[in-house]
Formats: sequence, C-alpha cells, structure tokens
Amino acid sequence: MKLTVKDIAVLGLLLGLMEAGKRMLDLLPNVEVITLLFILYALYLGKKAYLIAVAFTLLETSVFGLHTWVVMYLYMWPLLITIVLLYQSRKKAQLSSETHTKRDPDTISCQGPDAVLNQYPDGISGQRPADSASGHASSKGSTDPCSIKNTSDQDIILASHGFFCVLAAAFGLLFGALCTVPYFFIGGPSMAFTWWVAGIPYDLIHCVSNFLICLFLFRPLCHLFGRIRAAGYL
Amino acid sequence: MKNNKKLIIALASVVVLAVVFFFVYKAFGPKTSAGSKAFKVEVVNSEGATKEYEGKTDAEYLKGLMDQLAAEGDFSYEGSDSEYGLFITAINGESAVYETDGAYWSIYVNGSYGEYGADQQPVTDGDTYSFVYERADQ
Repeated sequence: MKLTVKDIAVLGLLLGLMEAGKRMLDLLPNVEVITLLFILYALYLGKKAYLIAVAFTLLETSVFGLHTWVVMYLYMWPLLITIVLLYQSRKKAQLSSETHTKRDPDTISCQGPDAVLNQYPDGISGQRPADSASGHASSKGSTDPCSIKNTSDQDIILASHGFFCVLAAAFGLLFGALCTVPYFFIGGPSMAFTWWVAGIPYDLIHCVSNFLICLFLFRPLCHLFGRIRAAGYL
Repeated sequence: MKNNKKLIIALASVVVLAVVFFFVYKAFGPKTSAGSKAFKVEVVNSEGATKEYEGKTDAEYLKGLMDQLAAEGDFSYEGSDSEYGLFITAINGESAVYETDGAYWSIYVNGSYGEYGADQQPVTDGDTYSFVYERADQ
C-alpha cells in the first residue's frame, strides 16, 4: 500500500473527524458514529481504512490508557472494515455479471465487460481513470460513448444503504459478544459469559443507535464523501 | 426484489437475535434482592491492614451500600463515572489510580474476584464484599 503525503494528511483529518465524533457522543453510552464512519472509510478508502483503525486505537490508548479494550479495538474495527471490503468485492463480481447480461439501448457499449471492469481498478469505490483525468467523478456517466450509464460507484454505494444499516445494527448487537475474546483467556468461559451478559443492555442500545444513525446519516455522508472524492481529495 | 427480500430477512434476524439476547439477560443477568440484608464489607489498604464493617442494608447494588456506609461516617470513597460504570479511585482517603500510583482498588465477593463494577454488583443477604488495594506489579 503506497501512501503519498496527501494520503497521510487526509487519513489524519479523517482520524480527527472520527475522534471528534466520539468525544461529542461520550455522554451517551454506546451511541457512536464510529461504526458508520468506519463503514464509509472502508467504502471510500479501501484498505487504507485499516490504517485509521490502528491509529484510532493508538489515539484512544493515549487518552484512556492501556486496558483490555485496546485488544478488542485492534480486532473489532478491522473486522468491520473487512466485512465491508468483502461486500464490495461481491458487489463488483455481481456488477461484472450484470454488465455481461444487460444491454441498455441508450448506451453505446462498444467495449466488453472486462474493459468496463478495467474502469474500476481499485474496486467499486475506486476512482475511474477517466474521472481522475477530468478531475471529477461523473455520477451520471461520462460523455465517452463507450462508458456504462447509470452504474457509477457512488450509485452502487448508495444502493447498498439498506445492507449497511443492517450491518451496523448487527455489529452493535454483537459488539459485546465479540469483545469477550480477551476474557476467555483472562478468566475462562465463565468470566467471558458473565461479562457479556452484564453488557447486553448496552449492546441493545448499541444495535438500535447504530441502525438509526446509519439510516439517517449514511446517504448525506455518502454525498459528502462523493463530493470530496470529486474534488480529488479521496 | 430478491435483494429486498434478503435485506428483510437479515433485518428480521437481527431483531430476533436482539430479543433472544434480552431474554438471556433476564435469565442470567445480575439479580438483586430487595429488603433488609446482612452484609460484611472489608477494606484492605496498601499496608495489608483490614477494616471491617457489618450491618444491614436495603441497597440493591454495592454502590448503594457504599453510599450508606459513607453516610454513617466511618467510610469514604471517591470515584469517577466511566463508560464501564463507577471507577473507584480512593477508599477511606487512600488513593489508587493506575496511571499515577500503579495501583487500583479491586472488588472481591465472598473471596472471589468480582465480576461486576460497584454499580452493577448486586448486594445479596449474607455476602462479604472486600475492597482490596492491589498494585499492578503484584
């Protein structure tokens, strides 16, 4: 993964955004925007989101000190990012099979599916070379008569809104259970189970809050990230 | 349509799982008992000296019992609210803050390491609750 100076600056800003979002909602237990932000970062940054996950954990450690939650953070957020990236890959494969079978009569398709896929070198959320050359992403299809119409990466992300709401809800609900792994090693299954059960009310809050936050903020933030990408910063 | 169906099934599964978790909490979560309960509280300080308190309480959780002992005058505690509940930083004037003292106050219930914080630990009739000053390097 090659990083430019601009990448490092952007990642730093996004990390700051995440930390500020966490601080703002500190008073409300298990109500957080971190899950949604990591989903978005995975969609728009790809594997670079893992770097933010590690940096976020280090930043939180510097504020709150070392504790068992550090171990949890080191695998929980990368797990979420991995699920999002796997979903992206699957969507890309689905797009590939759909472009193979669908022909839009309004589109002059003079290239085969492979050539179309080549327009997405970094996956579905990656910028197309034509976009980077022109300096902006066209959500309605470029003026190139050989381009696919109505299948921009932004459209695909927006179409996955429902999936990510359910993913955010499930992640919040299972957060406590997934966090019990260190306690298996510390105090055995009994300690892990007790710790998990005691936190179930918070997991329920986490589930509902993640779902609602994703439901209402996913699209506006996607539009915002799309504009940031169009401006050439992502 | 197929995708919508999958989405609805997934959402329904999350809801069902949430309901299951709720009933697991009801079945296995910390249970309190109301009414007058006998208790014993021990405070073991940094020098190993033990101070004991005995009596009756109606407190549902250990924090309520600590507040009752503090009101009676012979016991004091300080703590801060964290996302994990009450975090005890001092008992009877003796501070144990991990970052500065390299020590912390542990909670034991009937001799076993407590599995809950003070505001989640139920008070049960006849139990012994110990606050033990422990160093991180022990």
